[in-house]
Amino acid sequence: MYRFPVRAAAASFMLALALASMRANAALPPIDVSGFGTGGFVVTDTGKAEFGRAQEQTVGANSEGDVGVDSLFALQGTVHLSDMFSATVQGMVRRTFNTGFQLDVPVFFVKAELTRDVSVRVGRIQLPVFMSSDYRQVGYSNTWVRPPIEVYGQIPFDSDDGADILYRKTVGPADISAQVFYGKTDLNFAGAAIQSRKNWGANATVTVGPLTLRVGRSQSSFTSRSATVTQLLTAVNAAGFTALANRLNPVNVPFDFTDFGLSFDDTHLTVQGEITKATGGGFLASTDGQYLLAGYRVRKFTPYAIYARQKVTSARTDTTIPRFGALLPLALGVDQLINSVGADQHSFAAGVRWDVHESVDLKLQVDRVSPEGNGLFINVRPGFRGPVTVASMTLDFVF
Amino acid sequence: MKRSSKTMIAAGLVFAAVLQQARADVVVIVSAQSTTTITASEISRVYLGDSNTMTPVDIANPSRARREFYTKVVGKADSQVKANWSKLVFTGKASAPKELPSGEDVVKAVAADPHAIGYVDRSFVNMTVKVILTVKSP
Repeated sequence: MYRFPVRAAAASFMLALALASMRANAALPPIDVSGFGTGGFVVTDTGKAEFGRAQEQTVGANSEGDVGVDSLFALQGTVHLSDMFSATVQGMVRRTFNTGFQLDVPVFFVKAELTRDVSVRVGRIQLPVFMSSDYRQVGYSNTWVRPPIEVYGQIPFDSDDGADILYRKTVGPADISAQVFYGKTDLNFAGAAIQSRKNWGANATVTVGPLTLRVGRSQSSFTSRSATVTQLLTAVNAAGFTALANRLNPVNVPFDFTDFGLSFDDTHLTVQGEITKATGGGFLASTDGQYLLAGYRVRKFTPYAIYARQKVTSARTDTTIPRFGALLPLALGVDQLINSVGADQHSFAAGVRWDVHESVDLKLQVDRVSPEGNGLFINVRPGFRGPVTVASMTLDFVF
Repeated sequence: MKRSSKTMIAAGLVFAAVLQQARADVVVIVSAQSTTTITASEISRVYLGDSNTMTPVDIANPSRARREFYTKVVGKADSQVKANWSKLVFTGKASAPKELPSGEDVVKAVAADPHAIGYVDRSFVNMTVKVILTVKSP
């Protein structure tokens, strides 16, 4: 759950709905109500680990099947207060850090359209780090069942509390958009609290004909508070490795992210790819990510294939502590800590999107996931070995 | 026999031509006050949400004008158009085009806003709007 308290979120959501239901009253400003959702089922061929949509899920799918990986429902209301000002709130029910589904508010902002080309938003926005960040939860807007975890799992949060400036302009055949944002993110879940501070970044997108190019850069200061980590670092310090304990201290750790994206979308062919680089200081691993999706639209059917990969570029082991005797568990603990974020994993997927009806699609996707060790799998039990086959079926809709 | 089949084909062609006359062209309109020099490619991008140079207005489905406009000017499947707008709507970056019940309403809305753009059967066009593109009937 994000910092936004459930009760306040629910209350504002109810308020938005109440306002929407009073739409008939002409005295009220105009309100747009829209929504989207996905019903999904995922099953894998292993009982020894679970497959999640991202690291933010603490429960995933195994050989018994699961409906919580992709299923979600969101309702959004926008109140047009004047020609310049509008307020938007989005409520979403999905599985995040808990086993069950819960309501959170991933989007909540007031927007001022300063000119036709420039607008400013203040509140909670989607953290715009990836090419599809803004609509990663909207299954209907995407060819795939879900964004590849090898790339979209590189950053465990998807919203930002702060402000942004949006710029859009058409210059001849090119449609340009740019965004600058600043803010913070808080995540609280069982056993740990994560604070991402001084999130700032910028991105620019250019579309000419069917071709879109995007470049984005962001950075933040990362703090993680967990009893387990504190305990480990206290022991490392007590054993005399003070410099190491200080270096791994998970407080105000710098994190940088760079993303190049490309897409090509015409009547039949659809291609999308991103190349990403995450650079973390302290205990945070640095990772490279890449994926490429290619699909071919034939009437209402779009068969597609995806390749995705994540590679850890920072050291996987720390040799400061000697690996023998009583110090061995400590050395292994340190290795576990520096490997807690990121993993080596690649996957191939093949699927088909069927546009069943206006605003409704049905997708089938089979992933062959090859982790090194545990990879990005969660709740791994002894004896787990990849590769793993993951079969998914989703029904997406917008209204 | 040969001659009579030729006659029938000729009659058929004439009939088709008459039908075509009866079905009014669909035209793209802006306010009479507008000074826009928008191209056909840009109109398509405005209706896909890629360009923000104008504010697009739709006619509610089912509508022949809408079907012709999207098939011939925008040139994308309904699902692609919907998927594209959903990307913008659910980030609050833009609002989907307003859907108006009739051609008359579209003319009224377009006439009132120098940034608005719409499409209607030519029969709805009056002095308050100007035609910037004609979508030929088949």
